[in-house]
Order: sequence, then C-alpha cells, then structure tokens
Amino acid sequence: MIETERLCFARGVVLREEDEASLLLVPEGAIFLNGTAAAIANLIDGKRTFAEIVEVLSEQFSEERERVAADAREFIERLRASGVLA
Amino acid sequence: NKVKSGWEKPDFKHVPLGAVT
Repeated sequence: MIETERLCFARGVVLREEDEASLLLVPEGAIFLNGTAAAIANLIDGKRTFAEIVEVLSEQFSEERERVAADAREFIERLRASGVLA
Repeated sequence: NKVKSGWEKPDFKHVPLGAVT
C-alpha cells in the first residue's frame, strides 16, 4: 500500500538541483523535473512515507490533500515504472 | 517555507544519455 510505503531512490540515482532546472541523474541519462516534481523528489529520503510527503506538500503549496495525493501517486507510479525508485 | 505559486501536476521528461552531457 503506497500510503505507508517509505519511498527511496534506486541505487545510482542522484537528485541534482541547478538554477535553471532540477533533474535526476540516472545511469542511462537524466530526468528533468518540473517544480512540483522536484518538490516531491526532495522529500524522497527513505524515511518519509508517501502519506507524510503528501502532508508536507499540501501544507507547502496550500493545496487540498486529495488533489496532491492523486497527482503525487500518479507521479510516483511513473517514476517506479522508469526504474528510478528502489 | 510555503510556496506562493499554486500546485501544478508533477511532470518529468526522461532524456537518454547523449549530447544531457
């Protein structure tokens, strides 16, 4: 169940933040993130659960938890499909 | 810190290793 899952990046994945963009460096290339994707990536530390990440984002962006959770869940599943998550 | 701009759908673009370099 994703709500209680502690999310962390796969081995070899590095989050890099530059002035112009945030990106995940992966062995086969790079993944360029938009603002909210970068905010999520910054919270993926192997300690926080998905629910805790959603809580932080909802507060940070002053947005309804349900909307943040739905969008974040879809994003996480896409990352997982890309092999970026452990 | 709270972010002033609103929430947008998180998105990413996967770019294969190449001329990323």
